[in-house]
Amino acid sequence: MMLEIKDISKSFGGIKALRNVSFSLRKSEIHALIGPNGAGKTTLMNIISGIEKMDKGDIVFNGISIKDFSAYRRAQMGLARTFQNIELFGNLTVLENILIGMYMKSHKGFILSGLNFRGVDEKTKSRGGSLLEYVNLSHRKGEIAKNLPVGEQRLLEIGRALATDPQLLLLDEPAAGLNTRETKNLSELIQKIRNERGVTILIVEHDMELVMGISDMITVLNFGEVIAEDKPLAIQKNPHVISAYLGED
Amino acid sequence: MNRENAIAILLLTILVFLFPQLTTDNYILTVGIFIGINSIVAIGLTILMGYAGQISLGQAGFYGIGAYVSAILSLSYGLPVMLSIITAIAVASIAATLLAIPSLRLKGHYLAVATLGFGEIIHIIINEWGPGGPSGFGDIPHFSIFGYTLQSTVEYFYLIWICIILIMIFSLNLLNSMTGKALRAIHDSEIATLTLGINITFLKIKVFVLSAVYASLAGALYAHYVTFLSPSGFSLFYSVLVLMMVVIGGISNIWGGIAGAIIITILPEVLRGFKEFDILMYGLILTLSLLFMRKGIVPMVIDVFRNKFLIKIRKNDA
Repeated sequence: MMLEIKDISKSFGGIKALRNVSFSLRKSEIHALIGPNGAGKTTLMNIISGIEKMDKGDIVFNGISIKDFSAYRRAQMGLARTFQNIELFGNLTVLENILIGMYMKSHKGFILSGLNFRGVDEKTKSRGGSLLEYVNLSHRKGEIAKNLPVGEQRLLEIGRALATDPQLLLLDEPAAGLNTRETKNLSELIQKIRNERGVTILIVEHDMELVMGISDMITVLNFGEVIAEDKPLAIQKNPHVISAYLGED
Repeated sequence: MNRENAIAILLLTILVFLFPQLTTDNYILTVGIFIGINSIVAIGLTILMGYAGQISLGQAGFYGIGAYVSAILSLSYGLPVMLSIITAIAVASIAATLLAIPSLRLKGHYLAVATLGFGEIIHIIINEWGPGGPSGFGDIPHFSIFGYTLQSTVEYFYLIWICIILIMIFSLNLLNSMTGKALRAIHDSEIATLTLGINITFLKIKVFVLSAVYASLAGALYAHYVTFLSPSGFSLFYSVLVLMMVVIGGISNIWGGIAGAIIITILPEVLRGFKEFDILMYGLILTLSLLFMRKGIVPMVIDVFRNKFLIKIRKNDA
């Protein structure tokens, strides 16, 4: 197993955001996490990436419990993510955003950096350039990131996450704010990342067409609890899921 | 380093070597030396404030450690000056690390409070236990290197400004490297920086230690140039002075440290003509410059320059 979510609970004040959530991701699968608004999806993403602490439970990544590791340690182990509310480095260029993603594998240390006149070396820059090509952003290379349209900002976040060379990629609503054509390109990109790089993907998404089209497995969360876990076709027919979405009893 | 900064370094180097040719006035050269010493401290604080987003109110503490440790080691223990300066910098770095680890692990401006206390502690220590107590001590050996002892004002002017050129080169390289980009990234999104595997706390600690290294080097140079030390120059007032240099010069560009040091060092000299009103003028100038130049002098000048330049290009296009 690539990732095992074990019995995670989390409350904010009196509200239980997550209740005994458990599920697992196999290596190189695309696993979707869906559910109505407020189901706890983003909270779970934050807990997995180490931005929020959980009250109870465990996270096992490649056989190692990472629940006590800080966010940057988890990233160093191969866990990358994007954000629902885009968290780009807005004042940096598109290429620089990618370069920051490559920081942990290519920075030279404090004193050496001060003695090096050439700044970021060409090899790192060209690797960054080819990553931009991979996410179809080569034409934006030198632009300031905050000036990009939302669709391209989401692609840049994915590119930046890939720059860390992850084994597991968490995508938090990557299609939010995208038009039909952009969503189609996104779905191709996600599949390409899995097929060519073997990256395991956990995606939170509201666009059901996208989710049903690319997922190997779907976990449904409602009011902080897992109510179903199955393949896309079976999920669509699951009565619990239908009632959760339509609000029936 | 990018091209603009390389040109600026070249210009600074030429200026440093021309300046003593243009004037032999010892008073002007001495002011130049003090501008230099203050610049070194201010450059470090500019990097800390502008790039690590932290405020230090205790740079006088590191400045004092640099001065006193180096002076005492060379005077009382007969250590070669170069070695005593290096030791003083090492002591300041260790103090900075011990101070930064607990305060930078917490979110918020704990470092500002911790450094405020630290600066005061150092000031009290040198006041109570330093040689000569509050009245200070003299006969500190002059700066010497490879058996040559520096004596004249011109020699010290060169020494200090060569140090600044080297410090600027190191700092500009650092800020242009992956590390510098990571520091800028933290400003835009701390959360994203963390999820890219960057240990933000560790980076901030390193920047803080760097600012302490610069401040202690400046202190040591001061001690071996003036050859007399007393605690009064190492109080909270000096920390605030450096903070003013940085804010007036502009925190978003490390050249601001030098610009701020020039203004704050020269201002009292220029205002001497106003006699008892000098403090009033001093306050007025600082208040006005903060009101009308929020970004600081260097970033503002660059903005004006870029705007004029860009307007010209646009006109040429049309």
